[in-house]
Amino acid sequence: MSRRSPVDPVFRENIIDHYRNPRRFGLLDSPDFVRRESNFSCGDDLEFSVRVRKGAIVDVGFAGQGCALSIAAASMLSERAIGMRTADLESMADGDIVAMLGVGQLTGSRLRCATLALKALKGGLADWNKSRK
Amino acid sequence: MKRIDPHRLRSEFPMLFRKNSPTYLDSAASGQTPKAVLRAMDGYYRRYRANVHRGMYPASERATEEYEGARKKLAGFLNADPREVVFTRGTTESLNLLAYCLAPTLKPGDEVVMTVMEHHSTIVPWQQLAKRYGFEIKYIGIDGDGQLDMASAREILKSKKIRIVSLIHVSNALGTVVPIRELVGLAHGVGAQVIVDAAQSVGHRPVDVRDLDCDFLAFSGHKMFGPTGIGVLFGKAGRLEAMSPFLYGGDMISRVTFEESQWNELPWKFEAGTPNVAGAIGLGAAVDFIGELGLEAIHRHETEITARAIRRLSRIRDIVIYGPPDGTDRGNLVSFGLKGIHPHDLTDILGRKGLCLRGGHHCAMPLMLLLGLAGTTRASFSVFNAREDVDALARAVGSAVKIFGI
Ligand SMILES: Cc1ncc(COP(=O)(O)O)c(C=O)c1O
Repeated sequence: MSRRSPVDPVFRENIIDHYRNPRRFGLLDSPDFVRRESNFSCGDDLEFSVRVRKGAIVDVGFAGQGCALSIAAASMLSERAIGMRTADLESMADGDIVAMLGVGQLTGSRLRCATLALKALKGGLADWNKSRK
Repeated sequence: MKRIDPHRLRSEFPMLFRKNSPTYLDSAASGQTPKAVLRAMDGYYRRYRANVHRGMYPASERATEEYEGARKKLAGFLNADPREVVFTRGTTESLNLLAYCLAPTLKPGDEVVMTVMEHHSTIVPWQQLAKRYGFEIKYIGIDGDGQLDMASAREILKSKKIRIVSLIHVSNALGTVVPIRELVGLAHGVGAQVIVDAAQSVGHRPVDVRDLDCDFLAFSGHKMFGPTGIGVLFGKAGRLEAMSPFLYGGDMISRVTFEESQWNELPWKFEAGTPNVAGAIGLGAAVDFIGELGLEAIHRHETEITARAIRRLSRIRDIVIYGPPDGTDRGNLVSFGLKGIHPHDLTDILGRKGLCLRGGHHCAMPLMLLLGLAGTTRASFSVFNAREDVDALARAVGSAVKIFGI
């Protein structure tokens, strides 16, 4: 059987901390758009609410449930997104999320957990842009 | 009675016998393949590879003999007649075949009954066909221990409108054993036909179709030491004769003109096209492998290991073990969770420690919704699992508690 370090990078303290105490948790009162995304295979289910002013994201709040990675990613990304140009958020890739989490490599199903928040924010933003045209 | 020696048996399973092999605790999802099964399939491909039921040369005759020989082995194993053993791709195909063939005989107002523990391969076909044919589906619930609610079963199974009762034998999500024989009696009492999903029972405990008296029974080869892509549909001869074919094509006909076709005899009426010859031969070898170990011995070993797992795991703080309590008749698996840890994280942590388990809804999403769970982590056991595997599991679950600081 393979021996590994007792604390794997995926379950580092800051991931567990964001999971236990997610930042920006709670939906906004008057968002410009909301977006819900789920990972049915493992039961991650997150909803984001976002406010946009002059091409920048000014507020994000999320709610829902999920595994440590999906919640930690939602928490960190929500914090980071505030103040970002929408175009910059739209150009973020899965690799940026993995780097933000600092968990090393992620495969298959775990990558889907980690990137659920980004998928929700980008999808919501794309639909919102379309609806304003 | 024979006894299982898991350490000695490990050398029979190439995937488990390498250096740094992981601890395989996921036999309920798919088993491992013993060398005897690999050899049987290899023999077909190397020595007598040909189509069956057609060629007039030795290789084809040998292939037909071995293919039909495998059917006879399965018939003996189930206490069925070879005419009643149809080879399919697996449980899912067997259950779909039944739903597609039987649903058109149902009318609006008719009822189909199943348990809340059914696998998606039972729920989804009937649910979708109900939209087309207008019959109703009723579910028998479970009690707080995860046992089938027999009072509710007796009440539901009084209706004369029931035409089909589809029952999981052993729940792959909870380990619950459903009392098939008693329910078959009730179902037959109102004139319904009974389908049994035996994916988790065949190969793990004695399954005798005459004793169960079910009309149909479905299972997969890959969960009983056989290869993937092969499984069985058992049907009582009279029932299969009354049914129209599921797939049309070669082999399933006796005579074809441009206008009309006549169906072949059982079981070939339900085996259109070139079958999975190597798979059937491999499954036959799996039946022999089980016979050599002894089904009673397998059942006893898996029961002991499962009981040990429940005992060891239940000492961990904040653990929740789902399904019937220790000491009751149970399948060879244990589903559990830790309060405050998502099942996906727990299963991932165990995987990083070299323990292969399954986490999630186990293709029983409606049951998970009913229980209010995002999923569970499930360990399942086979003949090659020893006590050390269970102890390693308990230690690893304990360390997950530490990682999450709960
Ligand atoms: C109880 C039960 N029914 C049906 C199935 C479906 O089997 P298969 O995927 O081999 O068709 C499974 C296995 O996943 C099962 O555990």
